[in-house]
Amino acid sequence: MQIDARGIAVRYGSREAISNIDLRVAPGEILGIIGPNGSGKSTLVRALGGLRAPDRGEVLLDGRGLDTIGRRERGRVIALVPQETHVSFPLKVRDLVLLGRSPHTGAFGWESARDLDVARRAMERTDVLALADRPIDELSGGERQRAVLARALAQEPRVLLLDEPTTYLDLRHTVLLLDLVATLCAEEQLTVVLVLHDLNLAGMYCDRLALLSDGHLHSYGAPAEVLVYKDLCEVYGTDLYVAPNDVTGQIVVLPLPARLQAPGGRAKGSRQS
Amino acid sequence: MSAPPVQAVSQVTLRSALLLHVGGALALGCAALFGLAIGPVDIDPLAAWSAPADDPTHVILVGARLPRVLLAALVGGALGLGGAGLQALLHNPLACPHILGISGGAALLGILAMIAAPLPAVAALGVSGDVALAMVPLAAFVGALATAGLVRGVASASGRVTPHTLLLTGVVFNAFAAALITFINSLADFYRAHGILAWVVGTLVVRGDAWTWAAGATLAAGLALLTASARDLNALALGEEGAVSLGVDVGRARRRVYLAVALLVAGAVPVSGMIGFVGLIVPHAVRLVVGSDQRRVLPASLWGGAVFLVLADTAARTALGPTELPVGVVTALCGGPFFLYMLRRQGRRELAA
Repeated sequence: MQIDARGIAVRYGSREAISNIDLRVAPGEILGIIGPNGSGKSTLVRALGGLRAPDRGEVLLDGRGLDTIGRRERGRVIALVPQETHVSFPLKVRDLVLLGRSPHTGAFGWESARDLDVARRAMERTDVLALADRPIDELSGGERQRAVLARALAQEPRVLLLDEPTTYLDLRHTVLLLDLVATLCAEEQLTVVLVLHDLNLAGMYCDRLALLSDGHLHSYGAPAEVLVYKDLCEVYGTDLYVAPNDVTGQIVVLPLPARLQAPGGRAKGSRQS
Repeated sequence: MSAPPVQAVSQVTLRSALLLHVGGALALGCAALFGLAIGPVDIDPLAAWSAPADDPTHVILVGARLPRVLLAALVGGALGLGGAGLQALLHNPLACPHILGISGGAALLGILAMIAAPLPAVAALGVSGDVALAMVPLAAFVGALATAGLVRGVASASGRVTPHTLLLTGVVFNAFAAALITFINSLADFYRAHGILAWVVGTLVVRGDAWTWAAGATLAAGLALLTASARDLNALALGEEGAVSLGVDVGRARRRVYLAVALLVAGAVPVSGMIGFVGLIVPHAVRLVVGSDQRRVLPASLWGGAVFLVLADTAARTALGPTELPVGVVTALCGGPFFLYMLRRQGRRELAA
């Protein structure tokens, strides 16, 4: 399903968290949302997922207004993987994944054989089937995020939103999770929106990037068009090293400590891409 | 990868819920037989049941013990179920009708209605004694619902409603309601005063068939509402935003649960006062056995609460010989230490996380 954001703005009190954002994400495509802390990344994802109705503008799913789609139907179409999942009771992995079926089940929530089958396949896909009987709070960070992704897949969504899913993961588990998201996106033609803090990962995994600055869309396009020295230094307010790497040619972004930052903003030895 | 685990376990879910009701009913049957047998005079309930109508054991069974045990089961079931519903809604294991002040609000208005019932002014309105007394559960319902709204309103005054501010506000409100009730007690005359204080500690009082029916009917309605909310309550384990992203109408779920709890409390409080700890500890004990799925926790808390209160009331009636202990004292003596244990365990889990 194609997501269109048309001039959306979200206000918290008198403060505008995001303003006038226009985006389009097509099936089989990963859009990365990047930007400094407080630039409105999470707010944008919440608006795209229908968790927060925009105060201005509209979000369209295949041309249909998101606000005209019922809650349950939205739960069957859009799945959200948050940064962190807290559960108040010691849920088992299986219970968590089956919760993903709840937009599909009847009022009493009894799962059909098909619901169980979908949940099982989601657990296979994310390699957590062996953990089915483990309580979530006993899992490692990587296992837990895979279980949460399995819950999202059990919704059989067409749109997958991930809000900094790798924050608490080490390098290996970060790559495993994002590889899996990329594979799912390609194979199932999911429409994926991915919020990432790490600009290098964003450049590697996303087809397009949206750079937010103070709630505005600063730049939007292919990674090479967005990961630009001047723009990044300006938006993040610090001097950076931005250059293609020797192995893949992909752009590498490194923060620079104050002692290496040049007075004019240009770092010593840095190459502008 | 072997397919069976998910398949096998989940297909039992529907059957296991039915088994749960059957098992719960059996457990309650055993507890009830025990409660019926024991008292100032020990009787054999089955023999007494088939004894002639003027036999003393039959009179004791049908006239005294059966109504009391039935009441204990209804009230205990209502409190256990209400606690389980609130804990799931607020995704906080320390919630229950008592701690959220809902029992206190129900008791306060219930008592006011009871005092008002025999007043000449009420009689002048053409409301006779019996009809006026039937207003007590209704007043308790209004009190419960109003308190739930009031506590939520006060808790949200500081901005976002968190379970912690809600619980804190509820505890304060409950203490306030208990103080008001004690104050009313000082104003009322001596004979009625005894009845009023019983509301604060929590004592089962068989007040008549109508009130028992009311407790039964509200319990059935509360059970129906909560059972229909079980799926939404499960999703709420992921927090409100997580539940919304799974298509749950959190506002509707909240209204349903508060309505159900107000009904349950309105049935229970007029015949038992403010019995604490049942709604708090029963869902915990139940979760240790059946897991965290609300489709199992809710029915199990119903039966568990009923069994617990029947046993607690039996102890209250018999522990001190002829003197009867308020059942609220027994539940608090069991529940207090258990509450501290839970706090400690929860604290440790949070530290470990």
